[in-house]
Amino acid sequence: MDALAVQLFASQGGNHTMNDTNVIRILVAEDNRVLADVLRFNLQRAGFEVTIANNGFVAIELLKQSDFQLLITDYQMPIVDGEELCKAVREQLHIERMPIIMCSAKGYEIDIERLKTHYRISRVILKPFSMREIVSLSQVLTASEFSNLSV
Amino acid sequence: MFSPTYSLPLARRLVGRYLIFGLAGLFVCICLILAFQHFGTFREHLGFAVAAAVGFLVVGALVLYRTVQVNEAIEKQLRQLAATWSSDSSMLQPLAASDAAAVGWNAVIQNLRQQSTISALEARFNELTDSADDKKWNRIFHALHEGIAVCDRNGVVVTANNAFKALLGLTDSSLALGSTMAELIESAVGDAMGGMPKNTLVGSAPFVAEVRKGTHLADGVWRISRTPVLDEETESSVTLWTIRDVTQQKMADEMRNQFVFTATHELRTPLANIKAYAETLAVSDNIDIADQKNFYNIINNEATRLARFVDELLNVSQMESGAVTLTRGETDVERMLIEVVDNLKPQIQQKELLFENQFPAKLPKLRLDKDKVVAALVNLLGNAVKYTAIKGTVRFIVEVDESQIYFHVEDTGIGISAEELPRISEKFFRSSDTRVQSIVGSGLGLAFSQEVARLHHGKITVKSDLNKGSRFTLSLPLA
Repeated sequence: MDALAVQLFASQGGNHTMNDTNVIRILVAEDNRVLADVLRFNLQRAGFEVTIANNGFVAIELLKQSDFQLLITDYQMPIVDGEELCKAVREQLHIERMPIIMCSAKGYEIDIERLKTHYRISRVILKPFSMREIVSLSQVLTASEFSNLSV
Repeated sequence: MFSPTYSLPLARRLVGRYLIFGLAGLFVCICLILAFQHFGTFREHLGFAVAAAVGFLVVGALVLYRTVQVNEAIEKQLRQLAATWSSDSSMLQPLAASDAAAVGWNAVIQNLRQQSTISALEARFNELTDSADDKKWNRIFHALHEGIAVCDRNGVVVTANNAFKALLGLTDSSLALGSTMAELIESAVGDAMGGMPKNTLVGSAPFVAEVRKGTHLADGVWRISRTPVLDEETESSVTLWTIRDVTQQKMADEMRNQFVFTATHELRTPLANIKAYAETLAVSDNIDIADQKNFYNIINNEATRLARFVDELLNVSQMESGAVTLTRGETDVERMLIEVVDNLKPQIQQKELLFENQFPAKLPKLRLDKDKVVAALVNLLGNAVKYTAIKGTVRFIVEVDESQIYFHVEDTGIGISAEELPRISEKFFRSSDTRVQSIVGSGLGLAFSQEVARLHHGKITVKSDLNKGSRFTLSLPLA
């Protein structure tokens, strides 16, 4: 768990503190560090507070510790993958309202409709995707967080 | 009895003889009656007179019978012929008589027999030529790789070729039991019928279906088809069935799909990064110079990764299709080794690895495709560097014996489990070890190196202990 703690500390981005209630917090679960970095860069610029987990397991631990208003997760990740993460979020952690965006480089093998209905995933985006699109989608989803909107 | 020249027609002969004997009998009777009356002994000799007349009539009947005997034999045969008409001339018997009718009859029979002999010969000849044709088709039928069977309108298998019997595991005797096609296929494929509704096998409408024999593709896949054929004799529909084993084809399809999926994933990942950074640079204002510089570098690196992947893909597929031939040239092995090591120096330094070279003092010159061998060795060494933790050790050892040159690449890296070891040179195979998954790789490098070794008539061998390290050896023949 020491390693995990270090990781959590290291990946905690932004200058915002946990008490800052006005800031919308996004958890990005993405094992590709290069892509995670650019996501963080763009989302931070749009005013979000971004935390990065480099696999599903770390993401679950982070979700246990604090609240996030949006989860952006990759589909293919080591240890705990995107689907297992979504399952944990909805069925173990009982986080019902947080919208989820899933990104995947696998377009044809995954059953997008099943994932969307099963785990109430708001949108499955195929890689490569547009940063602008994901930022504006994040804004829409967090603004309508309580209306349970599917975009 | 009669000469053949005696040629009065039968009716006139009969009338003639009838009159002669009748009149002679009458005459004798009258003479006897007159004579006896004359002597006055009529009453005593009445019996004699009657006997004489009857005797004449009997002799006359005998003569008449002799006259019509031959004709009767002919008529009898003609009646028989009329009752059971057939072209079989063996039923007709020649007559042992010499009158004109018998001679004519015998001539007719002889003629008929000659004709039937000719037609028998003709039939025999046709049969011979037909059966030669039949045999040829029969051989073709049994030589076909596709299983072929014909079912009657009740679905019972009536004919099947060898391939069909082999596919369904049938013998001639089990085929003779009169099983229906539905029963045979069901028993061969299993109750689940590979997901095909059972009633599709009943009936005669055309259909084509693929049936899996088990849960895995490798268990077997059959393509089954049914075509109705109109039987002209019975005017009912028999069905022609074909069964083809398409397992190999299906497995090749699946491998190709796997290839496409993996390749797509490998292409999308760097592409996603390039797009993300390029878009960020294009859209966002006021990015500070250091970040900009960093982003450009990332785009460059990802593009390089993409290009390398495409190259690897082309290399492997070209080599596998045999489209690549080696361009061998006289190669200075020592120089080649320096090139390999130089190629990897940056990564070795970056990971602060302990790198050891052990080369023989004198290295031979060999006829190799230098570029490809360099690429293969860079691959092996690159893997060692990639999968060894910071400050680990990588050794590059070259040995030469009388027939071979050995390039050993040893590392103190994560190693490969015994279960995964046989699969590592499979195209696109990547270990499920999470430590491997977090390292970028296409799963093509080793497949490529293996191809290079094979083309040089050499090989790559691997020894590995999980968590301790691996030793890859590329050995190439000296001559």
